[in-house]
Amino acid sequence: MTERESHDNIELRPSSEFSARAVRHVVAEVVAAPPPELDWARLETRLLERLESERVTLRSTPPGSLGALFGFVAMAASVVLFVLGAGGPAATRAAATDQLVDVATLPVIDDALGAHSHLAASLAPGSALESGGAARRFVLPGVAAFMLAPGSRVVVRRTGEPYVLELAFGQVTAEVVPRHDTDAIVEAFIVESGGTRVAVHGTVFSVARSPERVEVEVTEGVVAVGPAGYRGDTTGHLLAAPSRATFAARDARLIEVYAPTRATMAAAATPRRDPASLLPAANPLGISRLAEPDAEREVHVRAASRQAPSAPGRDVRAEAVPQPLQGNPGTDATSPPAAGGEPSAAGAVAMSVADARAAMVSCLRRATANAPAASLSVSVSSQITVTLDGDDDVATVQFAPPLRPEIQGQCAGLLFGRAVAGAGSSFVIPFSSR
Amino acid sequence: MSTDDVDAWVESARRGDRTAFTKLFRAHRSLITAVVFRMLGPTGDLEDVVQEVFIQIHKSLPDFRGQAKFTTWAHRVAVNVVLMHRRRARSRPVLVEEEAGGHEPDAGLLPDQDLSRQRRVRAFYRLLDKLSDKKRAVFVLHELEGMAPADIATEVDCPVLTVRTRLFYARRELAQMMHDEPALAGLLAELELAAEGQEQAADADEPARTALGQGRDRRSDP
Repeated sequence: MTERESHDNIELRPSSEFSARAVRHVVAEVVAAPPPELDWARLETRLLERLESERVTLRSTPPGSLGALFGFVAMAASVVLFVLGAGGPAATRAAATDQLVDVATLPVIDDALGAHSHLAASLAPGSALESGGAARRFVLPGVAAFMLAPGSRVVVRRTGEPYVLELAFGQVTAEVVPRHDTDAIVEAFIVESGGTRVAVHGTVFSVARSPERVEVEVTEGVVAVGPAGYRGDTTGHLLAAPSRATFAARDARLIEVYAPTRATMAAAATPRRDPASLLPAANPLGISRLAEPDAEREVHVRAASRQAPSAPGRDVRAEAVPQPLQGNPGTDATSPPAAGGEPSAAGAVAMSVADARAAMVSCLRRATANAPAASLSVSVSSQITVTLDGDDDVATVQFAPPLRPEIQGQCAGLLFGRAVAGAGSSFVIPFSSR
Repeated sequence: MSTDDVDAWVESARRGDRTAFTKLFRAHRSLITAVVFRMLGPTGDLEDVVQEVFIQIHKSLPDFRGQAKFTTWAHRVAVNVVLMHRRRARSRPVLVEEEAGGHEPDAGLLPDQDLSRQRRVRAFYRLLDKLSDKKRAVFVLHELEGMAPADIATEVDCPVLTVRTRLFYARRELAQMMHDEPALAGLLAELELAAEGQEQAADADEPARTALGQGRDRRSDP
């Protein structure tokens, strides 16, 4: 008797004999079912190409820092991206196929704010850009503008759509031109590094890294963070503004979701700048503000926000006090952050599931109320799954099917930073409107 | 393909011989695809995950000590990659239900039988996806991959008793959920009908057997 058989003889069978027999029957069918015939030639080609690209990456990566790099994908709207590489110029070996471009040979243009930018439209795959001792700004007309912090290097891996940059080391900040021609998810601009990819769905956000981690902060809209190396749209964790989360650099595994900071909330509440003003000239995107000590401060803010509304000895999250979700922001200490006001750090009083549902449905109804034309009837339907972390704080908000990124960001933002009492690990909000 | 061939390819692939690795790929792609397919079910991710398995095999070749057969080791790598893929995919946005990539080969069944089987298999994977990840992993590894509870315990890093408990609850939940899936509820009805038919046949045979027995008894009377 095999171990499997002996195990099956243990009295752990389903109560219904017929159901148990049916399970066994289907299991036998599943085991016997032949797998689909894949396109082996294509798979082999892709596999070998990927192995070759990883071999090149290995050659161009400092020893010990493979997997310690990170990246993101920016999509279809105004995006701010901030990346800190783990290595440094001295530790880097350029891949044999990469050609370092002399930045001085690139045409210089001035944007609406008078910032000097290098026109990078002519760069071909394999072109490497280094910033040297000063920050340098590059523009890809119609696609994005990106800023290399001092001591940074990126390599163009693909032109066209999506435009792919690989961050070798240092920092890159990018803002992607919004796409208004389609509601579909379009990956227009990508930065990849190591095993992590961050996809932005119409968002202002930042990404920072420590040696093993990637930190993503979303101030506007929605980002998707997932593993690199897959075809098609980036899949992974969906973060909606305002939120901040940490991922493993190697495989984009979610490590922790933080409550949004005051700065994030304030940025989320600030109307988006005109896309034409990509990257302000003075202290573009505040790179220095995203260093590691800031993360510690934000964790502190998160902890403080849980304690502040509570009198000594009281657990405010256990009370599930219904709170007005569209109150007067900035004046009500228990109100969640809302656009147009200064959010309160002491705003993390637990809401009930009913409150969360009401807030989400109300927000979605408002956001989807206007049809593009009076003669059109628009039907919107989505199932929103809210997952909570161990402290009952909202960790992720998923829309299936997805709605327009700005709607997702606007409505999911109502829940981030809030605790939901009595919901277990997740709950679902069905939404449908006509 | 002999074991010696595989060993030679492994050794060459370790040294960076791309041709040897291609041979390993060609020799094991069907096996790996079958493992991934059984664990994930019909999905559009199949090709990507199979590729990921071979990428992982390539990366891990230096760690392969030859203590187990390459096939066994590759199976374990595939299981790990699929489990990792499931963890990563747990919270990704799902746009639509993805269809399996590639073409399903002819299983030699009549068209309606084949269609019914495919429906049952898809329905079964839908039920599997309703299980918690922990229960799903244990059930799939044991029932579909035939792994022993002790091996699963090592794989998922928990005590063997926990594996058995998860298996118990997974089976029970699946059995309960089957009634809600039309394709599987139909199978249940078929099984019940078949059982009833057997009982009726047994009942019909019973008087004859009884009469025969009585006759035998009478003949044996003095």
